[in-house]
Amino acid sequence: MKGITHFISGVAVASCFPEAVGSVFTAKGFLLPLGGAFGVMPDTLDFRLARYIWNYQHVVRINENDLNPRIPAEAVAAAIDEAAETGKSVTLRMDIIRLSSSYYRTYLVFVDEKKKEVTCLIGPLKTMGQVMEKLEHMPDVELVRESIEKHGVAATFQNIYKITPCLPETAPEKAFYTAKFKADVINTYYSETEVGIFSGPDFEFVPRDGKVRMDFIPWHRRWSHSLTVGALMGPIGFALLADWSALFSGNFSGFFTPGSIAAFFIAMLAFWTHILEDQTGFLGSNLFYPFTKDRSVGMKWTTAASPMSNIYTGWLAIAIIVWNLNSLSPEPAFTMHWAQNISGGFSSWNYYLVSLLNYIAYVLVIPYFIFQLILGSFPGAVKRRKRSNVEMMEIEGYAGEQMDSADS
Amino acid sequence: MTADLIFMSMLASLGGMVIAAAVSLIPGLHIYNVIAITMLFTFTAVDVFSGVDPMILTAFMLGMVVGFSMLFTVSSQFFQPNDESFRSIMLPHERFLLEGRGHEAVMLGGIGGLAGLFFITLALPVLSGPLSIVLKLIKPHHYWILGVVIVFILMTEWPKDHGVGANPRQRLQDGWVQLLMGYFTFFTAGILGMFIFYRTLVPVGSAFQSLMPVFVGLFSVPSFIMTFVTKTRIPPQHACQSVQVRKTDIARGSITGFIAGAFAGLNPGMTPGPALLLSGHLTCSSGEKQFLIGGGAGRLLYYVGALLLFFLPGVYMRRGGAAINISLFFVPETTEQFLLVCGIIAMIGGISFLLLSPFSRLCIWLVSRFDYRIFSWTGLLILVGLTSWITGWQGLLILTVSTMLGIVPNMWHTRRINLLAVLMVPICLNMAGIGPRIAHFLGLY
Repeated sequence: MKGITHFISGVAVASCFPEAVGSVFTAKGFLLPLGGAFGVMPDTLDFRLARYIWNYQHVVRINENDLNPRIPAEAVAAAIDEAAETGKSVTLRMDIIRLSSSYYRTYLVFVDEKKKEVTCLIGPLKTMGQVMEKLEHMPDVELVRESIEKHGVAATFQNIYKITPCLPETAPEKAFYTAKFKADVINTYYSETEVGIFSGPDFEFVPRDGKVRMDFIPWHRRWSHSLTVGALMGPIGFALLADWSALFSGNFSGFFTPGSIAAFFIAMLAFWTHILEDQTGFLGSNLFYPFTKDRSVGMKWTTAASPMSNIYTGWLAIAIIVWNLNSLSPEPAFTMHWAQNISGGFSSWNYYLVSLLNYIAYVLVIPYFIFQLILGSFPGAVKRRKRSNVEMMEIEGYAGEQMDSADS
Repeated sequence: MTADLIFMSMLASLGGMVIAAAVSLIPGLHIYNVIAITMLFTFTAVDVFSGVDPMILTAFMLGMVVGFSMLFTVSSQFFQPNDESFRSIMLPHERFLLEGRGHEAVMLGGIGGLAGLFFITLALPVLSGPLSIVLKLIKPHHYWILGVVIVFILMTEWPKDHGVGANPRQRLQDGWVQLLMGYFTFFTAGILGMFIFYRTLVPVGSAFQSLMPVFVGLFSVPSFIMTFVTKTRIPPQHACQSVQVRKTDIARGSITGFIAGAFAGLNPGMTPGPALLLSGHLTCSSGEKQFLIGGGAGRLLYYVGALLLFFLPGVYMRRGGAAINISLFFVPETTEQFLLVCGIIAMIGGISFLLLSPFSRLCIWLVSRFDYRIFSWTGLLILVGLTSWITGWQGLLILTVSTMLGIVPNMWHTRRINLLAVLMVPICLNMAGIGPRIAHFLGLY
């Protein structure tokens, strides 16, 4: 999911705590933003910290004055063989070619594990806005594979560039190179990789059972996206709101304030909600770091970059927040139609449940069907193109980084 | 309400729109500054205006706000090109200008504005009931909603630098320089905001414009300075006859703008910038056209929609500089007044939209004949002169300090949105009830 979705989900988690909403009225508390902060924390840790402390053994860097496709192709092939020969993981990063604040030189790298080839093709210039729609216009991976078998890698890639958004006539003619590798590659990642905006793609080549497995952006969704690290967030949340002065004056019970106890659970659950939401996608997380080493595979219900899943999740989170703010308020702003004849207000279970059912029907179910109806009327509104699992993983990998696009 | 009053109000609103169009030619000049001058003039010549129905002056101001909301970005679109060296990411409208597509960017923003106008005049009048519920619901929560926005802004600026370095320490250092400067900008702007709210130098007589020198300093003057130092040459602009845009771009861009405008309009301390950042992420809007359309819709909803809420029966919410100034002499009471206001907004909005293309062509003509820096010099002189006139030397001092801070994001490629801490931090802290304590801690109170 995108950062804002995680963030609002964190606020929604916090709003489920009566202490969090109650503190708004009694003490002007900040427990609700705290939920948002811990909701987006895993991505913040990754994109602000993990990416820098990850150790790259090889960095591929070419520049506009020497657009040599041989360098990336041979670097990837050599890294695969190095992993197979040494029996140790090899990490590799491909730097972007940034020409200015607006323009990026792109290049495609394609690993064909059947033919044991890496092909690199220098692509055209793209702008931020167009590359923002990364892969949205890319043809299906299976179509690409078919085309490669029929027409060859270079011709296929050149055709891909013709149909994707870019600045026309900026791709060099036949600027491609194919390098060979010896090792067998495990097909966990098979797709064309476009090196475009932001930081370039990162790979880890991991030796496994005599073969080499390719991991995409290996620093993402590792320790920062684990339930164990999430459990550590609880004490941090607690510490932020604990009454330290009471502790230092010897009043141990005063140290544990209702707000700090709520903060303990809010921080932990908001963090876990982020991991759970990410788990609905294709690229999983390393859930039990340090006890597990590898990222699990996601549930493949959706993809992190999907507008629909993000909008639905955001809508659900906002609906939860609104419900909790209203039902936990001393003076609710609205009452639900179905509960008009039930007495007792939100403190009565009958009233609460009937109101909640009514709320779900009006705010979630009916709008969902209306939305589906609208989408059905505009088939072009949302692209529903079948993609392969690995293509989805690549899109998800980029989703977090796309947060900071047009915001300055 | 008599036909004469309606006719006079419409005429007055047209007059306001003409002034807005003239003001919009000067980049950086804000309509709230012009409203402030109007108020000064009105209060000075109170005898002259005592016989005038308050509705007419209200219509005049409405004309200014609606016309300005539709037209004010045109001049900065053409007269304030950005040098790439001062940008980490060129925003779509900046890049469109350098590709000779400034007119297209203007018209896309106009489409968003028109969508916003439809929403304001057709949907808002029937949303009185739900809106009053929403307002009642969020009233106790404004402070933490603002807190949520602050936390989001602080936590989600990813390093745009890619951390080139031989080891993690060097890469961290490389990548975090920009982030740290962003934090510096945010916290310094926050402290400046606390100073302005608790111990401003602006004379009491000009207190109604105490924020003017800060905003001019943080946003307008740095833009002028960047325009002066830029080496960019504006290429010939193509005034296209039509704009190619998909229905989905209009729909998604407009929805993004609606959410942003509504969010900013309903929450004190919020402005369209941060609201658009949030709503853009929330609706997963993508592409330059959606960005431009969303911006147009968001601005119109924020300036005009929020102002309309002041007249909406059952709501009567006073939000924004225009509503605050109008409330000094006009009390909305009847549905007829509201309907007249809606009509004026629709009329002025429609005319302004029709004016958009010729206005843009005028700017293209001007920028092809004169050095674009001339317009920035004019804007700078007018704004500094106004600030000096209204807020005195004290205001100029604040303006100077704010300008120095306002330049930081341009130099370090950080988000300019961090500068809005000047408004968000003090309002959030004050609404949370801890503003005075923080001000005391800072030695301001």
